[in-house]
Amino acid sequence: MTPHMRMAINRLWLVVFYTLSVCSARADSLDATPEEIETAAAQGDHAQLARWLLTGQPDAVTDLALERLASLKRPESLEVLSQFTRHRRATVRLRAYTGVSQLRSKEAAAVVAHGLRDASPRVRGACALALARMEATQALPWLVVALSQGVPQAATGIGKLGTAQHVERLHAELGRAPLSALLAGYREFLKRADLELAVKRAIVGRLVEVAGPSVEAFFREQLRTLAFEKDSKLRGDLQRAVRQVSGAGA
Amino acid sequence: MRAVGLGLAVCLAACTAARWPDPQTPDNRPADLQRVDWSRPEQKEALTTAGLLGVTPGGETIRISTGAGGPQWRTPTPGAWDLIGLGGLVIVLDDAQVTVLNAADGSVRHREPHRGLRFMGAARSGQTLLLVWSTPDAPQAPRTSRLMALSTLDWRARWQRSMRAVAGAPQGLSGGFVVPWDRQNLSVVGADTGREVARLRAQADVFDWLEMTSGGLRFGGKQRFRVEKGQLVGEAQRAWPALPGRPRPRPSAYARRATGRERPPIMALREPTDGRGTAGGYYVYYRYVFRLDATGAVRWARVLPRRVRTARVGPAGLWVADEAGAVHRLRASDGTVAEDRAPAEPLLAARLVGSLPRLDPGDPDHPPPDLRAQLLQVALDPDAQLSPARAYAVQQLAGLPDAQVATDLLALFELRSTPALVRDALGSALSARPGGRRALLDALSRRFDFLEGTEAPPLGLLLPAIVQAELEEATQLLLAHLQDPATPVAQLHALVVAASALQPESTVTPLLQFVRLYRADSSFDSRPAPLVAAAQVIFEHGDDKARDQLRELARSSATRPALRTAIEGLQRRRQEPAVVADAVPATATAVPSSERSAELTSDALAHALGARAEQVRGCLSQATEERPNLTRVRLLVRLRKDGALQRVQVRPDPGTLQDCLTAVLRDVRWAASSTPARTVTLGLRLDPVQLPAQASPLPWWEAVSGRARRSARYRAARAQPWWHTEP
Repeated sequence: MTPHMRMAINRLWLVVFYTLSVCSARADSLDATPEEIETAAAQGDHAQLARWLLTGQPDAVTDLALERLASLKRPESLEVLSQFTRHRRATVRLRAYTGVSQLRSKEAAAVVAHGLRDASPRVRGACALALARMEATQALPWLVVALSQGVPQAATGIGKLGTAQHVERLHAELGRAPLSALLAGYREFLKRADLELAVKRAIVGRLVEVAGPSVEAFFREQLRTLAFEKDSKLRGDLQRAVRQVSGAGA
Repeated sequence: MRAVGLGLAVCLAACTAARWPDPQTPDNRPADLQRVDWSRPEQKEALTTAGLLGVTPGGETIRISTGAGGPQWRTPTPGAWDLIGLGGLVIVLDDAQVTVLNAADGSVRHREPHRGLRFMGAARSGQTLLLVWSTPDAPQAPRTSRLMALSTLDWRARWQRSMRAVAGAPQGLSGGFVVPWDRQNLSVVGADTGREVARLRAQADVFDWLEMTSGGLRFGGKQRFRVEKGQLVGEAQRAWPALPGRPRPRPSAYARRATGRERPPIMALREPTDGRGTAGGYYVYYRYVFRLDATGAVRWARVLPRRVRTARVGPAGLWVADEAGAVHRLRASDGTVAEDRAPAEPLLAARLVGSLPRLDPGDPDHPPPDLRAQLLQVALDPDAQLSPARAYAVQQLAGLPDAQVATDLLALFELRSTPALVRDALGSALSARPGGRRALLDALSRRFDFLEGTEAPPLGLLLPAIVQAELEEATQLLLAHLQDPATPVAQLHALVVAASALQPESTVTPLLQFVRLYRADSSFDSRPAPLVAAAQVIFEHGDDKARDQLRELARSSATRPALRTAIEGLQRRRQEPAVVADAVPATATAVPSSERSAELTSDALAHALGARAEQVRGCLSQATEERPNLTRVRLLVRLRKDGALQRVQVRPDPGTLQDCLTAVLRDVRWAASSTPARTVTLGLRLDPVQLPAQASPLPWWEAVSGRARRSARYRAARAQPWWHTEP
């Protein structure tokens, strides 16, 4: 071992020792820096992230710590993340709900479903979409209520999780909720293999009545993206619908 | 000879005038009093039909039938602002003179200038009209009065007297008049001669009012008297509880006659008694009429369309004339309207005169009045100017046994348009009512929920009532609202204060979590008060560990400056020697013998009072009961050289307060000094609204004064004395 190598190894040891001592000292500190958050996240130290969050951090650090804690997807984080769903800043709540939604458990779904009751429309919308992503069937009744109460994003969840009966609920919102949000719900219904063909054809039929450029675009998009069986009746319906809607538009 | 006789007569009249009231007239001589007929004078031309006399803004005096139709007569009386109905005469007042009109046709009978004096009143006895003027309101004006008796036949002066005393409104008797003067005396004078034939002098009470009843003359101050067989006899009377606006069932004989615009239409009208004082009556407050029984309990309530100008109790009901000249006849039994007279024309002042006919009893099958609905109607009336009576209605509503009342009160409470005075009454009513505490808790349980469509409760309205009711079970709900992001940030400070007032110890841990979570967050940058208040609670009620944790937060550079400064301040204050805390009772068993006595300073005095909060509360409560208008007193404490209490002085002295506070401060140990005598003064601003409802001896409307109420709503919650010390 050359003296240079020995010196380099010694320096490395010094660096390691210094880093470790600083880290252990910081672990007891109230305040965290973004770098420390990143380090803890890289080490998978969810407990440390939670500690820092609970001792209160500046806005940017709190936001980062929440994102990193969520990215670890540790079930133990549910309690801390849930606590932050009651934070006064809506952006914090948004991150907390998003983090909870990544945990993919029944308990997590219940927490996210609670977000539909939040005062912030952004939080409500994000929670509705998160419930759809989580495929939280148990939250379906709340999604239906949320849609009728003015959370258009709930349509996506209803489309993804609902039954044939829920299609009617979507129909009922036509003209009330934003069409783009409802089309997202219909899109989910049409994608599903477990839904009867008759229900899907009824959706197309109902949307023809609404017509309009966005509906035409929606039909064209379905013709492009859906995987149809040969001579599918649904394809025929969609093609007819495009003709009808574009003809009506002309 | 005739000349001599005339001269003698003139001399006699002059001498009599000079001597009146005669200092030689004995007080309360039974023989004199027995000769007097104390009954109502006979009035041959008294009006037999009911009518409404009024003064219009256009300067006319009119008489309107209480039935339909236009004015029966109309007489110009420029500048007139009040009138008195006196049998067949109408006495009209303006700034310059008294005008006497014939009530039957409105013709002017006589005019008499005021001559710089204030008109006190008039009375009739047979064919004689007595007019009385007295000293005006000027502070240094000489005490003088003028009495003038006019013949109603030829309108010449029968006699005139002047006296160096303040005379009040007279009362006619059969064959004479009673003239009150100096609130101590009643002189009975002959109607024809003006000679004083008897005199009554008050001994235990003052003679402030006179009232002619079917049983003869009654008079008195706080007590009620009559003369029987030459003796002054006291009569028992049941007083109504205090009413907003403090209406007097019997107007003072010395009251200044206010103009129609000046005089608030607030009246307490007793029904004629049968001598046992068991009759009920009516309480009128602008547009509201409450029927009261003998105990003062409300039987029915009505809201009238316009302000009342005058009201008179008639057989089986109340007659009311409003500012538009409309007449309403309200049945005593249920308050239903027997008959309405449509508005005639606007009136500045009005009097209902003549004999009022008995009101028809109405439909016997008519359901009894729904008092709850009626009181609710008054409480819900949108007129904020009438808040005192609306609050009175709330108080009466709270006393009803109906279970629905708690819900009504809460619904009223949550109405944002409800004025503060009414809300204070609601808070007291809710906390005092059996179901009210539950209703408050139910209201507090509500949370913002977008899906359910529920809003956060009106915490700003609920919290004072919850603290006042000492609803300890609400603490956890309050903490839940503190943590709820839907709670407006403006409410958080009040939440911290309220929760800590109810259960200080159990709030320390949640508040510590709250402070820690937001210490570095921007959420409270514009309003750090909730965090600061929470830190204060933790410092005051937490253990050493909790305080250490706070100090650790203060050391952190990420902690927001406002919070850090507040914690450092709390810490400094804790470390400072608590000199004032030494001002504790020397007789208290908990005081260690080694305790150092305090220097006499304003702060030390304030602290010494604070250490005896309950005793001081008792003293001040009693004082405010004695003098309801007492809002502040100045306390002067003087010590001897050895530190012993030399003198306690209270200004203004409301009676017992000085003795009471002397007793409270007597056992405080003060440090001896080389100075011969030390004196310190302290202002105490009373804020009785902070008294718990059950502890307050005052009716709440007496206890509430707007500014103090607004500024000190939560002081009780901070467990501070409810009075405020002023340097």
